[in-house]
Amino acid sequence: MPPRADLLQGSLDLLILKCLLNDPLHGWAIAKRLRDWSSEVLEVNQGSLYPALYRLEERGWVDAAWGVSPEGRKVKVYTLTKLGRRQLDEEREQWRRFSLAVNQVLRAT
Amino acid sequence: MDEEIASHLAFAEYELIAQGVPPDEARRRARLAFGGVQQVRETAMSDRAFAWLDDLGRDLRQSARQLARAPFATAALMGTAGLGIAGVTMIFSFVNSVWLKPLPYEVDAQLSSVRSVSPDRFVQEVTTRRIAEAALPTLRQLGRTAMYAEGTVRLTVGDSAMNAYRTRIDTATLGVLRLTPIAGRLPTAAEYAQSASVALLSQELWDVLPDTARVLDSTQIMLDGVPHRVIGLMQAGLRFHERSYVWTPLRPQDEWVGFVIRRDATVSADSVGGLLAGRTFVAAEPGALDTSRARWRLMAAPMHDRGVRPQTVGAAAFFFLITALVLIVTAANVATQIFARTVRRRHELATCAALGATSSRLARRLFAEYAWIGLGAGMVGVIGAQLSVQAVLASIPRQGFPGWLSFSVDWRIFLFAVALTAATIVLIGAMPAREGSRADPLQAMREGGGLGITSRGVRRRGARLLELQLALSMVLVTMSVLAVGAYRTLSQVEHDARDAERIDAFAFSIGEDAPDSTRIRLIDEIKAAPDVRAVADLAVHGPARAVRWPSSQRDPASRTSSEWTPRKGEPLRFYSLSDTTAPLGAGRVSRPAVRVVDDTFFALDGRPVRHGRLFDASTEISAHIPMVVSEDYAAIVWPSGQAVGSIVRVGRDGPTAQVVGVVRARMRARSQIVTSVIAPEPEVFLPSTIGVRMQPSLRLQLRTDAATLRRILTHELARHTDAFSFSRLETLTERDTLALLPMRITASVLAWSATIVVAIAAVGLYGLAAQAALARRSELGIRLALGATESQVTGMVVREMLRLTLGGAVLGLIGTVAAGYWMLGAMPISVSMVLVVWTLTITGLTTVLFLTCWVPVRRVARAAPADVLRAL
Repeated sequence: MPPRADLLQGSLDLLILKCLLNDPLHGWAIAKRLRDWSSEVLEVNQGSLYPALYRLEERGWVDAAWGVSPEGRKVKVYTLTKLGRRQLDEEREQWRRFSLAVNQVLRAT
Repeated sequence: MDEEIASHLAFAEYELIAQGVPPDEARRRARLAFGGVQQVRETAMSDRAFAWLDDLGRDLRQSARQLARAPFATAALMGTAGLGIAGVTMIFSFVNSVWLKPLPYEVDAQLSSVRSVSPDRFVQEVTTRRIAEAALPTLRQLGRTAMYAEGTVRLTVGDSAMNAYRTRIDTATLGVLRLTPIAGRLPTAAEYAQSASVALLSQELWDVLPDTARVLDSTQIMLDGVPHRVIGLMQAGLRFHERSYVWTPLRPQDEWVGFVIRRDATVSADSVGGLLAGRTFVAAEPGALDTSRARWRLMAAPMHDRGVRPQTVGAAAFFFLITALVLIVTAANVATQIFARTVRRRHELATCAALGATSSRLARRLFAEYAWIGLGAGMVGVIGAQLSVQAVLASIPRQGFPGWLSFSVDWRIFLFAVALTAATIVLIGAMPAREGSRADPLQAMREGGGLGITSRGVRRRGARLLELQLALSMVLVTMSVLAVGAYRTLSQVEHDARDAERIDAFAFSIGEDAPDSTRIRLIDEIKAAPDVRAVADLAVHGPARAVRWPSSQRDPASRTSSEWTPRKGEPLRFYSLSDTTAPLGAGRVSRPAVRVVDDTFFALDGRPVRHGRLFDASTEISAHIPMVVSEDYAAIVWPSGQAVGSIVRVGRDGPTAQVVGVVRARMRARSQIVTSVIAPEPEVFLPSTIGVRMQPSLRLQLRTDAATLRRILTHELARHTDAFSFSRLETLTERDTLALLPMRITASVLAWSATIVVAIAAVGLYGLAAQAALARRSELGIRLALGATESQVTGMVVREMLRLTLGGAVLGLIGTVAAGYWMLGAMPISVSMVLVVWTLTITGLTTVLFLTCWVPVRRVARAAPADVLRAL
């Protein structure tokens, strides 16, 4: 298992929105998808995930509805809203600019 | 959210089990990985838009549970704060209704009343119509001027009748006072000019009329037997000198009138004084018997100084002081209990802080508790304020309730008291909240440390506050008991003035417009009534009241009352009987009350002859009018004892009178709010055969009960209402009750205030003693285990508690001495009464102190030593 990395401050919202871009998911599935997509490098602090989901729902970026998981458990499923898609684009652009700037700094001699 | 987290944990657990972790371990690891569920929940909720509402609800729920864990302490805190609110509301509502509530008409700096003052400025009163008419042109230079006349009137509607205050008004009166009817209309100019029989009624009087009799401009009421049409309604509770219920046009024959002036903007109060100073408006007529009135002056005073309210400054300040005392005791008590709560909860606060509760969170929780306490105190206060006002009202007879007093709970004052108490709670509570939230958790967990508030420190601070409560309670209890004692003394004096034979005596006044012949006929008829044992014809004159004197009677012929009839249209002159000054000993001035009485009066009033003789019905008036004087008057004027046979002049230029006898003096109680005196009343008596009288009244001795005779008299008097007006049919007991009403109100308000303050102080002491006993539980347990007896242990703690309050007792003693000294000068109380009250107060409060300490300490000490030590 590769060493785990902490999420950067402010990046959790971006990652959650990205996870929800194609499919509606419940909280555990979001955490799992993030881990899978990052090859188990990024581990979301489970205690931070739900406050973040509530915050995104409060801002209208995701919708939440109760449903049943394939395992037959009652779960709360989150779906990306139009507003959330726009937000994802914005955050993605910000992240691109941020990482570019960080890379430039690191490449400097 | 709980369900969602549970689902998350189940997924995590399932994944771990799938990896081969045993189920129990999987559950443990899943929870560990998730972290604090409660923290996650709080973080998630805090981001929501209405998170503060959730927080508030949670804080309120938690603090309610916290308060419910100590129900007695919570009830005590709510109860004492509530009692304080009730007490402050009750007393301040009283102060407000008596002194502060704005008068219903516009009293501003431009409104003045003008009265007549005697040459020595000793007497002020309404002025005679003759002077009024002469002064009117001058007064009108100052501003809009109105005349009015006041008095009582017998109002009859259908079968029901009542006495009511009536104000007769001229065309300008209501305009000057800026009053308008709330319904109907004002009298027209023609109605004013003709003194038409139309009336304005107050709303409260209108409301008690039968429904069928309530049609404006059609309803007929009888005023002193004369039918009047009701044309308009005035607002309820109007006070114009006295509460006025009926307003009718002024008549030319109204003899005594007052002025009210709304000065022009350019006219200052000083310029009014300047204009009136030194001016007389009526020249003495050559040959007139009465010349004294010509020397009277007119004097203007601001309307609010016109005696609308009793003893404005001193009495109001006194009750402000009482309000402050109750407020201080309440605040001190609340502070004591809040400190005690802090000590009990220091571990809990420290634990919360150690578990990560933020300082704002802890402060919010404590303030939520204070909000609950405030709410409970407010509810107790609402009920307490209503009950205490009702209690005071119940102790005041409704009959003759003074016009200036409309006493009810003032809700603005209630809210003020609640706000003040809440502020006290928050201010005092803020300290433990702040300290608790900043405490170092580790240190705070240690006994007695951390919050900076040790048990001993709290007890010391609590004891100081308790001393304050104790001292103030002692002062208030002493004052209230002395006030009740003063009231009882006053009552006794009035009661002793009448012997048992005459306790059902009636007195009633007859309107001054009653022709003598009719009045004498009425007296004869009443004397003949089977239930009447005796009738005294009595004309009461206060000091310096003028007496009407027919000009034809300058040299009164020998006539008895049944023969004398005034000639129609005969002009009346005025004597000021206060000028009845004989050669006075050592230059002292004496102003006797002058009473014109018949021969029955002395027996009926219990006035045995000390020297000389009385006059009787057959007394002839020859060269000198026969005069009887009271013992104290005789002692002042003729200190050498030569009263009988002395000759004095009635009025400066009036006829002469010769003293024929001296009778027993009467002690009279004079009661005002806060102050009252008992003093002999210097009196001179003139025979009714002189045919002059003011404010005539009859005094009856009955064979039957007062209620029966009231019905008979009402019926009898109603037959004569076409001839004259009469009013104030009342028993002497009712009259005395009315006279002592101000002192009774003072005693009642003080007694209820003292009850509230003692209750608050007792609860405070109980709480402090209970807290002290609980804090020393371990020590007491060890002492008991080592063989000390229950009574030894209890005695030890109680002695310590009482020692803590010693300073308060000393302070209270100084306060009670000062209060007693002041009340000795203000009320009819004796030094022995003060000493008895001190002894009783100290004994009573010491007993209360002892019991409130002993009961909680005893409860702790009675626990078995083993239980006590096990609970440590």
